[in-house]
Amino acid sequence: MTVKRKAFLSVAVTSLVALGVGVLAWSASSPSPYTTTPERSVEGREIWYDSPSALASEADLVVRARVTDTGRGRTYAEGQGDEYTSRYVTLDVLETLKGALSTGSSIRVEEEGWDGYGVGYVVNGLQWSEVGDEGYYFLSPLEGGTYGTRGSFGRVLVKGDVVGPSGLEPDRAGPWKGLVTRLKDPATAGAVIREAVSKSEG
Amino acid sequence: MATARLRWTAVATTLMMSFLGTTNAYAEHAKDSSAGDPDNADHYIDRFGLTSGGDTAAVQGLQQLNRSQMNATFTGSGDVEIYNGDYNQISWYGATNCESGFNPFTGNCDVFRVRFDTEMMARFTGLSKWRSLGCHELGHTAGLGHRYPENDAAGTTRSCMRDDIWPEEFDNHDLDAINSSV
Repeated sequence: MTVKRKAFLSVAVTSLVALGVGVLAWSASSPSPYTTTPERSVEGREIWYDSPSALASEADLVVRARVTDTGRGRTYAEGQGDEYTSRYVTLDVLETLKGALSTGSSIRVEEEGWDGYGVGYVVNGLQWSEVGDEGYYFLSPLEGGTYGTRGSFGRVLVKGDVVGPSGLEPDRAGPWKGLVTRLKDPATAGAVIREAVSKSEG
Repeated sequence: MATARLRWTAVATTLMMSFLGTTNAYAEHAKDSSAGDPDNADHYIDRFGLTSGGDTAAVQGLQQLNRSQMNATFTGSGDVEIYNGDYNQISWYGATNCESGFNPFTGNCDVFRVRFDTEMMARFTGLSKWRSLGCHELGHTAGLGHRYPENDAAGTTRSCMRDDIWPEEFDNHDLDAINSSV
């Protein structure tokens, strides 16, 4: 084998090896088709609740709970233009204020997650639940054995990135109008929720 | 140093005044939609398998858009896609988002997606609330945000962009807000 041919082969082999390493590296780093955080915002025309007791009245279940797990849920309208994939959220129930669940139960809540392109989104400011969140949840059953939150105001966190009512905006307090300060204080939030449930049953 | 600081202050002030000078009807009446703004005045709307209620909503929305300077039509496609179905949720009657082509620099959206939840709407009889819903969701595709009692002028009861009442039309504030951006 001539020197030139040896050099050519050396370069060719090195290039092929480099190409193979590059392909492996790209495969390993290819992102999942589902984003890990929400990137879009959806505007929804929601059910309107005039008061906390109206919200509590509509809810089948009101619990104080902690998020212990989150993950990808079901895909609806798959292959169609209105496809979306939900997010499963596991709640460990710490206290039941309305409904028949016992403390220590676990339930699965389904919240909206990703569109047909795998892009995560939130509706009316109801941010994704995260493990470790703790708060009060106003829920009703969905098809398939899961629960859904009653609107973007149906969650009040006492622990988490943003404490207080979800879906809150400077000019939009919904049923929590006049109560936001108390709801943002973990020491007083519970009393507001209990009063809402009590009035709804009165 | 003093001259450079003055020059920077002048530039910063000019930029700030330009930003403040772009306040429009959005800031006064209708909060801007987080789904984005239309990329131009022409609005080609596609309907996919709509029920009679969903179609009533779509028609009402189109008619309301055409009261503004937008040109909305069912002939042609590429700006708005409207669907309806049972989305297994209990929060909203309709929802609008930017499906594709969102420009983070301009805030414009290429293609909006509108969904009507037929199961949620089944709690109502008649078509009035369908018309209101269509007006509301197509209003989002024109860049309008929600309006609430807290941020609306006293006695304002005509806007379909409200969440707590069900008017079937845009009011003048809505139309002004749309026209200011197209």
